Amino acid sequence: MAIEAEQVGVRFGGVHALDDVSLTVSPGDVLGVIGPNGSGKTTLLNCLSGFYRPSTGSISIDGTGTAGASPAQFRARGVVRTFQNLRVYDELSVLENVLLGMHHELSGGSLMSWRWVAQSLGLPRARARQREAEEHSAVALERVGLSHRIRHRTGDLSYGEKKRLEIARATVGDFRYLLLDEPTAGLSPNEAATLLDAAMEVAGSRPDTALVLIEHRLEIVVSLSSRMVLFDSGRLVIEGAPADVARDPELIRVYTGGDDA
Amino acid sequence: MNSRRTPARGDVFTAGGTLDTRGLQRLQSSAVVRWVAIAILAAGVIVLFNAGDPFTLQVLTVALLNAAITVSLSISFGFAGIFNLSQGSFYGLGAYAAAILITDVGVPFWVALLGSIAVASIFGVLMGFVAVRLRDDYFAFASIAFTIIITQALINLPELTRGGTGFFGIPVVDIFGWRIATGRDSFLLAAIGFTVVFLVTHRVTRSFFGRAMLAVNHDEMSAKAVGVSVVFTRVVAMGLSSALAGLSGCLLTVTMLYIQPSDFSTVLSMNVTLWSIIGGPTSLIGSAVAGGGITFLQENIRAIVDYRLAILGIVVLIAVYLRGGVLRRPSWMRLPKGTR
Repeated sequence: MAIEAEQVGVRFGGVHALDDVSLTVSPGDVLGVIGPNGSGKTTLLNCLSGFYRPSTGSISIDGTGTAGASPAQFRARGVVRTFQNLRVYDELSVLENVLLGMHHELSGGSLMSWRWVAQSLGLPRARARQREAEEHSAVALERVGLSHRIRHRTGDLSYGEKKRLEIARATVGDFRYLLLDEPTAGLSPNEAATLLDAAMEVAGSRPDTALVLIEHRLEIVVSLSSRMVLFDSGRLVIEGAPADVARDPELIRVYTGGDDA
Repeated sequence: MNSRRTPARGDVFTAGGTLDTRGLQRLQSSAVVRWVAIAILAAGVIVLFNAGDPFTLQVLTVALLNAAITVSLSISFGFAGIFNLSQGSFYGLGAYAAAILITDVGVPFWVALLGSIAVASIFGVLMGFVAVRLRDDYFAFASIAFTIIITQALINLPELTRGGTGFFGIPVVDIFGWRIATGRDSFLLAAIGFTVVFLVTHRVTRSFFGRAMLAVNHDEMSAKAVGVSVVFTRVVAMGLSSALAGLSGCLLTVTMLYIQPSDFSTVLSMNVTLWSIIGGPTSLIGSAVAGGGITFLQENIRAIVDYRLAILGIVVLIAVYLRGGVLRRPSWMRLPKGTR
């Protein structure tokens, strides 16, 4: 039971965005990912969620391979994510945005199933399922402190609220691996704390889920994660306990870029 | 003390107690459906008791079918955001499939209806795969090409379609003993067809699939992240929207008993998309009113007939101005009732 990346490499033309990266994320883990801009953190996350296909190496979820799988299939196997840049739907209500996160459950998983037809035609059983999904959504919104915004147009939310909405959307359905790409970027320290508390509450405290957190503020990652990895130029440089990684001289070398640091 | 409230339907159990969500349960609102049903019934009663004039009945029948194809276009064009300029072709494919099946093969109405839906949806699915590859104006060009191909095929396959002179001699059909022989029967059948198309479109667009189509339309990356398959959504949207157009086409054949290739040329396809833009691509009632209303007015107000293209142009300009441009993706808001 884990996501395993084995010697994963991603090349864009001549650029090695990821180079021979192997790592395992098991349920209960909170994996902090740090590294300078362009070091391959987001590329790793895109691989783990099916958005990029590795040029070399492989990724498996719970022991089965993912060759050729689409992001939707990764989602079906329990991988959910957020984006570095906000990707919520301003035109929809807050509730509808969260309901989108229940797509997998409402559609019955497979593409064209009886449940799919029943649900899109609104047959009797489907209404109960829709109501259930709305109740789940309300719970997910309460967890991130957005209950009072449920009926609002998403475009009217503040930046910080939208960030929390994105987390509610990612965690509303069944998931086991939550991947967060710089969730606190652009937030005030206060907002960042609220958001991370919410994320830790849904994922960090449950033994059956794992959290992968890309984060620039070192003190935050160190305090939240159970394990940390440092990336530099597409390679995984160090992996270890947060306190050890934070003290490692490599870290300073990577961030300052000096060979003699 | 400690009088624990009996949980009611709509309550959500959370760590902090119960959270009332009853106000949220209106997304599958049936108010729209109710109003449309009342409007159709009222119109039907008025027509059935007053309009004896066969010309008016025929215009109303065509207007209802045009309204139906405009409503079903909102699935692919309005919700999925596919710049579909070939709705008239799927209508035509359905109409010709029914004509050939009823006249030359001699099948009963229900079989012809299923045949029309099947033919139109097969071509719709094919165009859906095109829509996966081509976006926006590129798909618009492909769909115009498709429309031209279909019109040319209808003209140039005389052994199948009777060619450019049109398909004559379609026999009157019998639906469980109901013969669609008079203008009134035709109007009634078209009204039933329109209602079916409207209800199916309404249900589908209000379901999780409608939400998935909007998601794919507005941000594919985000849609993928929540597990929506972009390919599947686009293909099914095209297939469904075409299947409903095929159904309407079958009804056109059995009510008019004469069809010709020029009925389904690029002119009709372009018009359907224009009506949709005028009525609002994601507004089902707007689409129905624009599609049906403009068809009816064009045939009835002879005084404006010479200027109808100019008038249509002005109306489109107004619609575009109000909605922020044809090329801007149609945006749509879905808010629970009682929202600001």
